[in-house]
Amino acid sequence: MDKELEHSFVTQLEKHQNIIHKVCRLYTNNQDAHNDLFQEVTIQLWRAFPKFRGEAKFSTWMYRIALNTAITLYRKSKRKIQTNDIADYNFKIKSEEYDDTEEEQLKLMYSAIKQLSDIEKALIFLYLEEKNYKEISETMGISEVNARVKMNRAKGKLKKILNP
Amino acid sequence: MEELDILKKSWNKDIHPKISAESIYKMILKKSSSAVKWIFIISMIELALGLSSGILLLTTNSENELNLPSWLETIVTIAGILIPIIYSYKFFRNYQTINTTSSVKELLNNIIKTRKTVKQFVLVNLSLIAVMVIFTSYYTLTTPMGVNNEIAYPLITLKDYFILALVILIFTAIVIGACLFVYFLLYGILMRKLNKNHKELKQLDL
Repeated sequence: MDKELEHSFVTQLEKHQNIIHKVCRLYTNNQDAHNDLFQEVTIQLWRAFPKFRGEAKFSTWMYRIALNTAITLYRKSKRKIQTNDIADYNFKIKSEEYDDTEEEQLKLMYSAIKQLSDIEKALIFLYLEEKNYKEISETMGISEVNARVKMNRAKGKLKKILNP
Repeated sequence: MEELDILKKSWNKDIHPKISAESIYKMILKKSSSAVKWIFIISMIELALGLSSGILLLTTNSENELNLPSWLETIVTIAGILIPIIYSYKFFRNYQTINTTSSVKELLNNIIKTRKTVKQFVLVNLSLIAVMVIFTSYYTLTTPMGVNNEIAYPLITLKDYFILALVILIFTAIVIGACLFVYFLLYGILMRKLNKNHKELKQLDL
């Protein structure tokens, strides 16, 4: 039975792993931290999996756990933060040297999103996942009105960072 | 927002090399290093320390080494047993509400509530120790002692009482202050991220 459960979990996670990668990309700044957060999300998903009844889609169920892990459970180590600084520094130099290609704009976007708070990042993530405000408010545990207000503020903040 | 739309276009593309099923199998065997796990471990240590200090208090008291009046002895005995039991129960009940499938706000609320239970327990325990030290010192200093069949007070002058009381108070304050400093430093680091995110969500309701 456990083997079956394990197999079912691994198969579904392998299929939907891009969701975790997207969360990791927003919340971490280097490969080590990305892998570390991916592992922590996987552990949390596996722990919760026996209670997963299949009422919600596996991918929807993953959003919550992945975001909750990134926002509340994940702890960064000091070593990783130091590496981030170097990575960010190199990136800034690169972005000044090249023309505004789409790829470059994407890099700038990610860099700007990383300057947002954990909560704002979650809202941007859910927006990019094309979730409606009802789903966003349920995932975040805030009212729909507050979700809209917070989302507009986060977008405004992004605009400011990108166009200082 | 135009820039976000650019990101939206490429959002669902595979952005990271696929992790194999074999690697996922290995990952689920690994242990979590989450903040909640550390909060649980530290809370368990605090509850165990509180419980053992309660037991120590009881055994010391039963040997009549504290010179306390019987009414205070009864209160200390009851408190020493009840406080750890009540807080352990509250802690486990709150801990069970921590669920990663909750909303972000609910999860943060539940973690902070669980943490608060142990925080209260530590503060109640430290207060109990402080009260015990003060009462024990008071009764030891003011209870007449039998020396060679004569009744004598352990200290003679008011100045002696004053100095001793001051020393005891300073000592108690230093010990409790040091405990609180380590405690808040430890939790300050562990809870910083949680508190920051909780505050941000809470501000929306204001």
